[in-house]
Amino acid sequence: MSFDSLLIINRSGGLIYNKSFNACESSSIGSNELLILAGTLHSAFTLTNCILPETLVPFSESYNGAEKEEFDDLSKCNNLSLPNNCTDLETNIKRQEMELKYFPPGSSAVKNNSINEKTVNFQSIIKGLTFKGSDFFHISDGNKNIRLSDYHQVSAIRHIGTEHIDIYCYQSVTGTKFIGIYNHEEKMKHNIDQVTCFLMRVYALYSDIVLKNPFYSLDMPIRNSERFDTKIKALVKLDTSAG
Amino acid sequence: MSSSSDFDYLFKLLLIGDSGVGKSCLLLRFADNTYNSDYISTIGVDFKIKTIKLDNDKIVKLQIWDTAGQERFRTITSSYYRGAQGIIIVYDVTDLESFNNLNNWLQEIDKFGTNGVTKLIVGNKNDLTDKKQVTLEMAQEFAKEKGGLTVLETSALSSENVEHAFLTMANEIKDNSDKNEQLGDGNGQDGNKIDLSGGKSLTSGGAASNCC
Repeated sequence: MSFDSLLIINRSGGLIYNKSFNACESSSIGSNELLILAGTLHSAFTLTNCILPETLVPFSESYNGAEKEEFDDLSKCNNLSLPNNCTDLETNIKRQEMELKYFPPGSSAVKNNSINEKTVNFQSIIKGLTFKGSDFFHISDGNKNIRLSDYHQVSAIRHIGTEHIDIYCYQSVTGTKFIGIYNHEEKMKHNIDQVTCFLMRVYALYSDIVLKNPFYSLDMPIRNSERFDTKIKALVKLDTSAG
Repeated sequence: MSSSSDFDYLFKLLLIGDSGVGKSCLLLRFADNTYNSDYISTIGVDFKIKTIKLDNDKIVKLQIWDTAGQERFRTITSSYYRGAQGIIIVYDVTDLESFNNLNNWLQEIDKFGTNGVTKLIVGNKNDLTDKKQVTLEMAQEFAKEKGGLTVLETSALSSENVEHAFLTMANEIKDNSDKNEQLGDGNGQDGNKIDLSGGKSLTSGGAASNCC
């Protein structure tokens, strides 16, 4: 699979960033089509969150009886004939607020401290950033060291696959969605956890470069950010070479 | 490689209002300039994209979400209020009930919407003059009570005021965001102005002569 494009969708369903890494196809997709794709994906996320609210809650051990009762209150979605675990969104949000704790990704993953070429490349990407959570950039070789059960997962949809493309999604706790589109041109296979890891790194770059820019207004398109572009390019290059 | 930089702003608009007042028709008229007289109930949420140019030559993409008016979709539609910069509340000028329900819709906005979201009231089906039950005066009176909202009467059939309604909305959102940005600057200029003229200059006097 080769990496085709990267989309960032804000919490309200608007496309704020897109970058195509496939030179020949980029011209055929207009910004309106991409906005429609972003809106459609956002809707899909909203619906899955409604149908499967449990995917929002990674730490299920904090469930208790009282919450369960609240959860089962179906009065508001009777007409929707959704599965039994559908819940009122308000309850959903309340639950989310209640149970979300900061959990740095990879913090309990096995660390691989061997300094290799990849590490050096990573250092060049994170150089000059004020981002402190180096865990986001923790490198793992192969599939062994990444255990996404350690990560905070709020993404209801993680993967959409078709014959020709694979769409991987990572949703941050605030609802910003990072979408990676891969095509099947090359035989190389990506592990879903690896891709999610890559998208989380994009999230880290977004938080550090875009959100800390005082001239950037929230939820608006990311424009004229050469620094972000460069870092993303480097990250993608590293990701695709990693295999 | 291509980037998403061919527009300056992205505004999320939302159309809400009772079932059958013509929200989808308004959107169809504005985005595609077509009209369909068949009644097709919106399922959940639909959206369209429209590119407009503001007075200051800035290109804006409007992402307009059209919600289902029916009560049974309320759980889904209410989750779309989040992050909307502008909400257009539509009523039917030939249906007093839909006008009376405006209050409920405003409450929904308070409950689910972002604080300080730009609101606009639109009375649709204004071409049906003989069946008209809600006058513009009534609507304006109501809007005044609710804090001076703008009211417009439109017709998706004759396309009267449709474009105007959406453009009004876009310009109001732009003005609002400008106001918010200037708020910080304005405070600095008026009250907490820092006077640097009283300080010692480094280039003249002692500092300059002592420099090696």
